[in-house]
Amino acid sequence: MSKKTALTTNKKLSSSSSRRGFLQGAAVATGGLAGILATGIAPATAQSRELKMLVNSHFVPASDEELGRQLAEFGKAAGVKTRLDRVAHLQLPAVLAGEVQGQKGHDLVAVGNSNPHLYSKHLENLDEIHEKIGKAGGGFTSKGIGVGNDGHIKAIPWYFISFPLALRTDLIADIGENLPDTWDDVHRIGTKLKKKGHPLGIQLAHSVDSNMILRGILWSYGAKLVDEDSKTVSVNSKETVEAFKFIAALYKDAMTSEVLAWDDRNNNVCLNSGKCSMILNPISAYRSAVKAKTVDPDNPNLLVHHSINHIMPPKGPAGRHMAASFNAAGIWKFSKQKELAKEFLAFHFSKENANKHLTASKGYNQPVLAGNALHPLYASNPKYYFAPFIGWYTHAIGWPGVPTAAMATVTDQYLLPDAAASVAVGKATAEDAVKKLETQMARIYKRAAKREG
Amino acid sequence: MVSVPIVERAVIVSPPATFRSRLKKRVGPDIDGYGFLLPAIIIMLSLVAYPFCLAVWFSVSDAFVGEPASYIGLENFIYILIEDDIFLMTVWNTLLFAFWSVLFKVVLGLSCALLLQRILKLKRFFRGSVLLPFVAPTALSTLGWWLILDPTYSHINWILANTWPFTMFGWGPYNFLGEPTLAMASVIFVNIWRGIPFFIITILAGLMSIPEHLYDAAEIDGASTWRKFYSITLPLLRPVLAIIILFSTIFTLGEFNIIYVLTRGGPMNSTHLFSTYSFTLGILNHEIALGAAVALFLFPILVVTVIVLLRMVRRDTSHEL
Repeated sequence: MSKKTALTTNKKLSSSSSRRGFLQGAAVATGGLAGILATGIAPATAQSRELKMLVNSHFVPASDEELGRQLAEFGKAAGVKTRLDRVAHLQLPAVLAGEVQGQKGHDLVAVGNSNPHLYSKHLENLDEIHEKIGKAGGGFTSKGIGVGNDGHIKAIPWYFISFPLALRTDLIADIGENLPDTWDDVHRIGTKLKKKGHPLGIQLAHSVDSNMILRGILWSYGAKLVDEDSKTVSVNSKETVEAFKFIAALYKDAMTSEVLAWDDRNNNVCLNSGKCSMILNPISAYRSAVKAKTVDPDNPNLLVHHSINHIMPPKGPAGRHMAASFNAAGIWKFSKQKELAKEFLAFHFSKENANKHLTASKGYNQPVLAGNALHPLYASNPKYYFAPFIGWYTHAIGWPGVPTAAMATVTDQYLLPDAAASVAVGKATAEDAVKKLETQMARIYKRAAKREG
Repeated sequence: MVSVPIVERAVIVSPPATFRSRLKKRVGPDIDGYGFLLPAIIIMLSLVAYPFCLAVWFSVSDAFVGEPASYIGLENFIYILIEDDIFLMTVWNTLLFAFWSVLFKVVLGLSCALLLQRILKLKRFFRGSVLLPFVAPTALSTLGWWLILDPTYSHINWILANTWPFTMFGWGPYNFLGEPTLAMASVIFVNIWRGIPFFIITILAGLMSIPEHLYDAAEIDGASTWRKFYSITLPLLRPVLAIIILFSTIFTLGEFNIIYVLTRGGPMNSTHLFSTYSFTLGILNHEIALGAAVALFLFPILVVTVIVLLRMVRRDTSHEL
């Protein structure tokens, strides 16, 4: 490489020195971008190439804008066209399925929880880059994210949206209690506050939140849906029965029947309107209250968000656990730009770019990399103090195994919320509900095992 | 020189038969008619027959997103019938949903049409207004109902709790979408609200076509209003009723939007219909084969409905007035 061409490259990338450094570092390893960086001129063939990425529309549009900016910046440096496509998050599974079925579409794709397992055959192995990114970022806080059914890494864990306990500190103080630390505390405080017209709100319904929170309760009681091998259904245990009994008591004493019909929006509304005292929810409820400047109906001088805070999810007899929705980034095997896509992942997951992405998302995109968890944004507001630590207690839906296609089926059919709801309303005993859940899960896992050979 | 008979000469000089004339000779004089039908047949084959056959193939295969499919016979049907308890609930829910929805739409549609027929002032306004639920996009109008039936801040519950005279009775609050029976009643109600304009307008058209002299004759004979309705209106409306019941049954059995927006099949799967459960299995769970098998269970029900209702129509239209 001549001095002249190297200088040209440096000039071209001078706007972002650390990005350049990372790109060059990654390029040395991968070899693909090195040539381009060395010459500073993209090869003629590259000019006609296009790197296409598909993500679900983020709740915070600025997050997608930042991602698009990074993609464009990378494309400019690599001399390729780039395109970022967004679809509604509920549409993403159908679009991914369509691309797999047709074996054409985008190069890079955002994949959720069990997608890496489901599309194992169709996603590129990313073990090497996963290891590098993990090492550079201080390791991943959650295990098993992005793992395919062959044990290889099929997607790089990107971010998760956690479920802290969002609560009204003023209401809890009014009854002379401290902030809850355990599920028993939540039960006790919730019971008292329900009597004062401020119930606890946890969905026992067909909603994502319900699937996540109920898993958290089960895990905190030492129960698990499947074993570590991700194949053996182990839900029928005395721990699950105990957890179900606890959920039923929580429902009866601290909640109202409306939670049986709630979707993912209702608990936010309940907290922000001043009715609910506690919910388990991402920071979106708080942020909506800030944005809407909601006033407490019982105290017109109080903006609700001033008294909302977030704390770690409660502890149970088996510790503190919570589930969350994890996002990861993968590359289709049918992509013609696999190497380029890998280079973009290396570029995007650099500390600097990952931090910019997190900042743009206003903290929603909680990092799975331990080194990025202590982001200054989370220290800037006491309401976010939980954020750097919650990752260590947060697991994907298949925990203690990995999120598999079978577990996604269990989740999408809302088997756990339905089982818990049937116990809560007295339609089934805890023992019967657990047994039924086991039968339903066993049928799904048997079918999945047969399919996967 | 040998003279050639005139007839033979005529045969020799006649122009050769064209492809069209040969086809006409073979198929018959209706060949032009078949030609005109061809575009419609192509459209039917590509847009109806092909997807249907594909769905049948999926249902007897192990099709899974991104995987090559192979034939497995009736395994999917056996699986959902014997092992899948949610499917059995879905069958019951679908039948319940369709029965009550169609029944109420017929009764209320007929009643409203009879009322509209009698309204003379602002006739156009009223007749246009009843179409509103039908012309609004289903997903959008169902979102409105979602707010009205909201579990926490239902408008109905608010009215019951804060408006006289309801406050006197102490009714509510009701968990419209959280209690299984109420949730089913709610989705049936929204379906009726959505589908009733179709019944009203079609029945009204049927009522307008009944000759007035029949009523005049009945009046002279001293027939009561009920007798006129029972002996003239209802029999002459029967073909129209059969057709709209047929259409409505097909649409109601395949209802998706209302359930998906209001309950997503909950609470505890008490409102899952064939379409929503098929979507869950086929699209969300990627089990295309199972999704197709669930959806195809609708087919025999529809076939029986179509046969019964079409027979009714034929019987009613096979005689002159």
